[in-house]
Amino acid sequence: MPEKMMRQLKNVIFEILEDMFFIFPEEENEIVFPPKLIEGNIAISGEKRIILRFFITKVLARIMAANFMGEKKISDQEIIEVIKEFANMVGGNYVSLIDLEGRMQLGLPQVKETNKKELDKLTKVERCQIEGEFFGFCMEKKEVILDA
Amino acid sequence: MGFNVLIVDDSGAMRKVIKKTIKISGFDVDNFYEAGNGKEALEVLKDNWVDVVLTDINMPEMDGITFLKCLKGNETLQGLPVIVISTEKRDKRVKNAISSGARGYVKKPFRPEEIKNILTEVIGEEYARKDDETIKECDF
Repeated sequence: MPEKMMRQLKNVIFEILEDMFFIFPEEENEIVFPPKLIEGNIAISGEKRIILRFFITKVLARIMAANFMGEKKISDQEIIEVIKEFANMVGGNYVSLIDLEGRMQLGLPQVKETNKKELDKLTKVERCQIEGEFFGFCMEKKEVILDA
Repeated sequence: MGFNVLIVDDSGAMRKVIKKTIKISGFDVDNFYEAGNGKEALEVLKDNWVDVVLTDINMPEMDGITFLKCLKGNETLQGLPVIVISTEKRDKRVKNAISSGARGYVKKPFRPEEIKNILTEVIGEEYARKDDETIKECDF
């Protein structure tokens, strides 16, 4: 993955985490993957298909949801919705940077549970620490195969 | 008398945040209606009087642009002021929303003042338009 693209993505993520979730990530490449995580992802489709994937511990996801909504009591459903919104905001802001012409299409965000085993399969996951919790992200680029 | 506001976003959490932002901005709102997509919003509009709509673009079932086009094509609803709140910052997308009938555009992430300013602008415009109509009606 070109370094420039990852740098742009990192800037977008950090800005959104700071502005909308009031949390400040610190890059921490030595941090190990926690056994269980929540994954938020969003696809950007064009000539190539890019998938942005975010890995967040449940504790951090709860902090993000509480900060975003300005409430102390947060339901599991609200956590899912907030992580989807986070993926949506990162996706929308990132696509605005890489596709000024407006040719690429932003997909709908998704949230699922994942684990260390899944993350180990990925070649490069950027790792950060936020409020003592793990936060990771990566970008996957896939060729678009059109049906004949 | 306060306003009736319809918030259209597939994220319940985001609807809550927008609602809170409008409340703390000091607007006199009588009713908040909510919808998870354009289709649900059209249902809400069938049965309820709404003064202003705030809608997302990227939603399942019926996205914000299709929703705007439906409103534009409906004789009763085409004058309803709609503000788009979206993560999409690209000029083409913003122009598309405006040409589809949006009166204003706020980019996510937003600051509460941005919602306040755009609502003041759009609701103010709406008031001015209603006042003009009242003057015309009363103009013997």
